Amino acid sequence: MRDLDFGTQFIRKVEVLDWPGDVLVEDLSYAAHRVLHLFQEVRPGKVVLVGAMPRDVDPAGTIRRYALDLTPPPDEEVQARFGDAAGGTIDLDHTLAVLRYMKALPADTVVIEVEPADRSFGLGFTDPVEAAMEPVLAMVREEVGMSTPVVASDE
Amino acid sequence: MCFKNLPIEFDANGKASLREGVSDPYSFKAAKPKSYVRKQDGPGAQLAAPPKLRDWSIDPVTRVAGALAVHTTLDLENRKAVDAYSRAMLFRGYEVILQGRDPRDAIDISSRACGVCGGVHATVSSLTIEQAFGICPPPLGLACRNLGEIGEMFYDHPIHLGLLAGPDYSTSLVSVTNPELVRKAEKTPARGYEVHGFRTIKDIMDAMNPLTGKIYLESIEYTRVGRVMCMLMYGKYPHPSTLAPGGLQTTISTQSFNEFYTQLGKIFDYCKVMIATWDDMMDFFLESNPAYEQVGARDINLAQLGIWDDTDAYDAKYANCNMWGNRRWAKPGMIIDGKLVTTNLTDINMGFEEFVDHAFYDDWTRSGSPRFATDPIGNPISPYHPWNKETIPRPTATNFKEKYTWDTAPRWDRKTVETGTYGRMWTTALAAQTPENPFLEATGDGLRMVIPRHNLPETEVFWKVPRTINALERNRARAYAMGFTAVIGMNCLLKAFEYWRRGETKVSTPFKVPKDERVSVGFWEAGRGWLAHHMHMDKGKIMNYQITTPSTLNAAPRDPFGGLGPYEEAVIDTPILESVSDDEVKGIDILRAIRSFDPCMPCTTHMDTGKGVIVREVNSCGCTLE
Repeated sequence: MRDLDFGTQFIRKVEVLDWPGDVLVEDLSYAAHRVLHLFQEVRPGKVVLVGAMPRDVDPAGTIRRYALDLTPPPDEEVQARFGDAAGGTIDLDHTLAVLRYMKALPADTVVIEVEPADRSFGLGFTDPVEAAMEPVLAMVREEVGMSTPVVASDE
Repeated sequence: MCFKNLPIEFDANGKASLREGVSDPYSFKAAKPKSYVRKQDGPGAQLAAPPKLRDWSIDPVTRVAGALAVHTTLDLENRKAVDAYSRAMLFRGYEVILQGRDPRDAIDISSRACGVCGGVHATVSSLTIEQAFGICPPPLGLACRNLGEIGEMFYDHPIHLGLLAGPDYSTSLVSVTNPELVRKAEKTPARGYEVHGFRTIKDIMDAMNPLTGKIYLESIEYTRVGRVMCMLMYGKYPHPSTLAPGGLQTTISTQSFNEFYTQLGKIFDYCKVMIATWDDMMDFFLESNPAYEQVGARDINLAQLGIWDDTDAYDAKYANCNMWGNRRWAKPGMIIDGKLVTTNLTDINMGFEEFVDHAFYDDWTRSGSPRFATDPIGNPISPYHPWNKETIPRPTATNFKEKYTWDTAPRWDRKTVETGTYGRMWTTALAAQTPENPFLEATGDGLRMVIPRHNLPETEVFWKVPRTINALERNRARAYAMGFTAVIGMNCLLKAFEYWRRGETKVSTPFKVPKDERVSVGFWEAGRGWLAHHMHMDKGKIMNYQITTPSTLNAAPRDPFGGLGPYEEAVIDTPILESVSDDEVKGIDILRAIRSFDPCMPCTTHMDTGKGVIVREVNSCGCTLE
């Protein structure tokens, strides 16, 4: 999926690293209500969401980090997204709408997103998105309060 | 003799053959598509007031899985739908993807055909492959497969009843289309109060309100229970990680079964509540206005393949499929005009054809002789049969007189047939052949179920085969299907315990990929009904792989004989029972008709606009398309 697969590939890269015991690294690319169930079970104190998100306002490879506005969308929109998710559609917007509506996200929810360059299918990332991988990892480490570099668990 | 239209006859030993003297047995003359819209004919027609017809395209139909559009014509003068075209909007292409691959890949790849019920595809694919390989799972492997599929159904049923169809009967919606019904519901006591706890019908309607209603929210919770049950047997869900030809790779322990039983226990009470709730709600609508019986009504023509094998009977062999098919907990069968005409899988397979006259595909029969004239045991099959089919996508502009959908037109004995959860209950009830067991009895006119005690006491319920098939009865049956599934689950679990106690703990069988030519088929059911995978392999590779799903049948377009697809038939003549003015009509009864089938449309879909542009990428349910 090229650049749009940033979040999934990021997880594959970092899940093998040593993380603090209270940090759960999880690929959330499944349907919204399933993610809801996970959050209801885990009840996280902080969430850091990572992914590629085309917004067409910044150059490719731009990293945006911001606190998520937890105001849910209108009811009709949430209902439509719930229905779509129940039908198996995996969509980050569905997930965010459902999680916000059901108050499953903590107040401390941060989004780190990368502007993709190539939205087509294919292998690997474009150079600007590839270059974003390490800075995003550093931001995530900072968000979870890690002061020392993370290393692979088998090193 | 189950065939009326195909020239197939049976000898005294039940051996099928083509009728002698018929030179081209499967040929047909295409009929001109019928126009169902009322015409103003005859004397005085020119002076008559024009009918109040309104074209209405529902695109997309919301609260269904995937991309479905229905184009209807409403006659507002007579308050009913007079024409309908069902359109599957996206192309799937799994059949194309699977060509040339190792057959074992089909389990994982075909599972992605659906984001809701991927487990059923993986399961039927393993059935297909083990038949081709000549292997069979050990008994506990079969029992665990049954249990995995019990769990999967408890993901499907709550979604339909709570999230997709339920809101059509909620206060928030009915108060807009029929406020008089809400007022009446406030004063109508609910008969099942002792079971479900809702004092009035209005309380039930409130509970069906999207996002806030108790039933809506609980259904989301119960999908989790179903998913856990499925994962205990299949590793993960919706795309199992442990299914293999000849069984499972799952590490099974006593704890697996104990946990499964714990989850199933939670379901028992939910089944009792849902049955009582939907009984009350459907009865209220029918008693308030008997015309609701016409919403989504069509002839009782049903096609089912059966599910949940008898672990002592199943041997994976096509030659024995009538024996093991008839031993399934949910029976295969064809019901035509309300009568069960066969329960033999060979008959069902023999009479099955797919037509593409109104779909965006080329007709493969024009490119030469069919690959196979018979099934593996000599029964005749049509050039239009999936074993002979070739998927040749040919997108063109939409034209309702010509091509207008990506769905094919599957037919049995050249008749339009629908399929559903209710269909397998119907065939099971009419077949009346349940083995001795404490929980389920098929009586010939219904199903008697004893749902075990949990917090609520042990409860006996009886699903009576309805007089007609319509939106309300489809939904009511879906609620009873929860009880049906739960009690079969109990039987399957007890069987698994029995094998476990005896030390028969193997769940898989070794196999080698054969290099010679093989033909096979997996017969199974999704939550919504019919599911078949037909495969032809040679030299260790897939030559042809064809998938037909519930919504392939239900969302089908018109056929070359002039017949309509099931959604189309169900929509036409559906009355508009809204009590609002013409300008305020929402079409809720049309939507109720369609949603009662639980449409499940396309899958991982990458729609090519012709310029190589990906319009939208979704991972979704794939139960309709090629």
